[in-house]
Amino acid sequence: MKIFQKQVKQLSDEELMKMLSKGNQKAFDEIYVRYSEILFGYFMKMLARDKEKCEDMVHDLFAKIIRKPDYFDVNRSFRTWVFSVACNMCKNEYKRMSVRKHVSNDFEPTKSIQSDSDTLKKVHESTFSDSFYEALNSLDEKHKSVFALRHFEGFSMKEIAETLQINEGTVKSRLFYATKTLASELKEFNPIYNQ
Amino acid sequence: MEEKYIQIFSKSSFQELTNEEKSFISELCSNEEEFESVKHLYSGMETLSNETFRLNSDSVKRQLDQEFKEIHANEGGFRLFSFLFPPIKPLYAKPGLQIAFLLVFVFTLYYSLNNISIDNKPKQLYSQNEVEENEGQEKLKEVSENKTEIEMESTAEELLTESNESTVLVENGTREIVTREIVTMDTEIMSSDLITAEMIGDVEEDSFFDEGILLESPSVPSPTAMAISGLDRAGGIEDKFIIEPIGEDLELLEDLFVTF
Repeated sequence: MKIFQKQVKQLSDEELMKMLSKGNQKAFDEIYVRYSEILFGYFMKMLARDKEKCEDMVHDLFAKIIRKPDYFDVNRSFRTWVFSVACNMCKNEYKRMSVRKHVSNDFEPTKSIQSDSDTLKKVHESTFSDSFYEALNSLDEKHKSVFALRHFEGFSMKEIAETLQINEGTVKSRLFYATKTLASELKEFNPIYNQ
Repeated sequence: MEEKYIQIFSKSSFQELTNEEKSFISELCSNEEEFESVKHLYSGMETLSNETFRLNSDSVKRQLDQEFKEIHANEGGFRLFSFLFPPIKPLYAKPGLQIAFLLVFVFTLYYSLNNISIDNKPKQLYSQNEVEENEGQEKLKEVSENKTEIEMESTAEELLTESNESTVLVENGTREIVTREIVTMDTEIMSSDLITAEMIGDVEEDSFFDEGILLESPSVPSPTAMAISGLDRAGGIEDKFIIEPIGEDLELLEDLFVTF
């Protein structure tokens, strides 16, 4: 049994997916071990750290892999494929959230202009991490996904292009735009400007 | 390319960058302020990269394992079964049940139509046959009865007509012919009687004449003449024994022969 486990661990993602499509439980377990935490972290960063929602997203993603393993093209990298599925799921979730926002705006009274106390509270209480994720979530989805894949998941420009199915030039421009926006948003945390 | 960026932003200040490096990062940051902010962002993100998110793996994994077993449990030679009854799809969307319902519908339709035809056809046929048989028997009976009646009537009529005709003939002057025949027959009988009488030796001379006189009188016919003419001794008519004498009337023979 231990020999078999070693063999499974030595296999590539693509080979595991082949076994998974034939109903191999061990292959599925290995894929889950390799990607469940990574994908959960990605969803957490992309979906404003909503833990329950992110758990559901991970479940849905793996359920898709179980139900439709044939959708995976063996010639493609599993890593880029699974993240492209995750990105599409995030896009759909943003759409749902925006709909909910519009609906809730119709019923909720409009908020008044932020008072000075709110601004002070924001400056003093928020840490860099909170501000960073807040700024990241304020970004457009296409810029956010490129930035997250590049800096959190360690994807190369080529892999990002493959995952999002865009050319590398577009990836680069989107990445620079996201970096500049975030840098300017988080400028107050720079000790040089605080002095 | 990415490692080159890391190397550039790892440098302490914008002033230390070469012109080549500055042109390389010009798209991202064009001045010292932008360089510093990006540099700070990257350093801050390094601390964030240590942040790990723990997934409550047990509950999610348990659900996924269950789904996996449901999908792949029947794949050991039962792919058709798993195709017909996929575990995740709702009950109404399972192809096996859909096919089963379709088959049931088709069979019920077929049998309902077939039962109507099977139940009614033999009954109708049987009833028709019965009716036909009864009708046939009744017709046969009627026909036979009619036939017998017709035959009876016809025979009766024929007999009546024949007797009438004979009586008419007798009455209308054909009596002479009849009497002639009777006379001839009587003479033969009488001659035979005479022969016997001669043999016995008891002959009456006037008897022949007397008989002749008697024959000429229509009121009392002889027994043979009565028998031939259909008159019994009591004076009644027996039509069955009437034989129409042809005599000189040859036209009567025409109906006796078939001519083509």
